[in-house]
Order: sequence, then structure tokens, then C-alpha cells
Amino acid sequence: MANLDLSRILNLCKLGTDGLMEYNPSLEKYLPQEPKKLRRLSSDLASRIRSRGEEVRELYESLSNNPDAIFNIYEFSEILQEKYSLRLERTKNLKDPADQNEKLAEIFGEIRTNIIQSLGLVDADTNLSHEERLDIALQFGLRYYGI
Amino acid sequence: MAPTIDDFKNAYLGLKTDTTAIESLGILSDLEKEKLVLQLERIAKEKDPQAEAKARYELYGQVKQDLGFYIGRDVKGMGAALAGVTGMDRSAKFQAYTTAGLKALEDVLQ
Repeated sequence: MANLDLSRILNLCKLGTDGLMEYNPSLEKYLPQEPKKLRRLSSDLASRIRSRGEEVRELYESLSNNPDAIFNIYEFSEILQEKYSLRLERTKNLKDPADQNEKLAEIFGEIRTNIIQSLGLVDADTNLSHEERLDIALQFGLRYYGI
Repeated sequence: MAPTIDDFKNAYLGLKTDTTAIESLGILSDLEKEKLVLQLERIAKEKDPQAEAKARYELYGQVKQDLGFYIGRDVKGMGAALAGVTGMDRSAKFQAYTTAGLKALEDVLQ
């Protein structure tokens, strides 16, 4: 364990023993002596993230009726929340309903992808390149988002 | 402690070498940090100097705008430049913060 820093250990815990092996079998040698404790910790953390995943999915799904819900998506910075709020607001100025729907679909799609990636980023190994981390975050995030 | 205009100035100037200063402001989410660093890395790899300069100009411009919003909203002493902001709607408020903050940032960068 001497070669692992704290963030890496936390990432490994969050993956859980099975997830860890699936993710990178070569890490088996790093498994601690107390697998039961690790599993308990892993399941606590996983359920906490899963529960935030459910919360944020509900917020996302409420956006079409309540655009202010964007300000409760804390996975985004305040400026990103403001920008999405403005973009959603501006769609109201589009006269053609087809154009409006197309724009809304584009914005909602972007928001959803960013939410999923933010949720999954917690699990993405910090030793990966930024590009790889973002790719893998999307895959991990889908689990917490409930798909 | 509330950030100062110099904190934002250093964050902006720091973009040219690393992102530590902007990260220390605590205004970016983890995802946005990843994306910003990735964009900076991609720009650094650009072989065409003109394309690199253009991409850098656009990215820095965007970051400057974002910093402007936070400066206008959070930096002490910006109140005078933002008289009347209380009665504005969200969109007008966003514009007012950004415009005033951007101007303040430009001033200290000169």
C-alpha cells in the first residue's frame, strides 16, 4: 500500500473489490488485509453516490417544468448553472416551436452528459490522462445515474 | 475570505503556465477543471502556430468572461459599479456582473 496516495485509495474503495478487479486486475496485489471492512466501506460510498445520482436525475427530469432546478445541480459550478439557466430562458424567444424543441433537446442533452460525467469522475483514476478520465467518467457515471 | 481582484488576475495569468491559480479560486467544478486542462493540453499540442493562437485567444476570452462574472459578483468594492443590480432579473444581473467584472479585470491587466 505504500505506493498509493490517499485519493487513489479512496478511488479503489469506491470501485469495490469486484469493480476494482474488473477495472484493473493488476491492482489485486494492493488489496488490503481486511476485505470485509473494505467491502463495507465500498458499499457505503457507492450507495451515497448512487443516492446523489438519483437526486440529480430527479432534478434533471424536473428541469422542463422548473428551470430553476439547475441551481440545485451542485455538480456544476455557479457560472455553468447561470449559463444553462440563460440558455434555457433564451429558448423562449424562439418563435418556431420546432426550433425551440430542437434547442431544448440540445441543451438538455448537454446537461445530462455533464451530470453523468461529473458523477463518474469520482471513480476515474487520477493517473489517467484527462481525456481518458473524461471517457471513463461517462461510463462510471451511467451506473450512478441509474441507467 | 473574499477573493480580491488580484486573485482573479493571477488566476487568469496562470492559465499560460498551469491551472493551479484558477483551481485555488474554487470556482470550477471537477468536471470543468478536467475539461479546461484538457483544452489547454490540446492547444499546446497544436502544430500550426496560427491555429494555436486562435484557440488560445478564444479559450482565454471565455475564461476571462467567466472570471468577470465572479469578479462583478464577489469582489469587494464592485458595488459602486453595480448600482441598481438588486432590481434586475437574473439575465440582466448576469450581464451586469460580467460586464463590470470584465472591465475591472482588463484594467488590472493593463
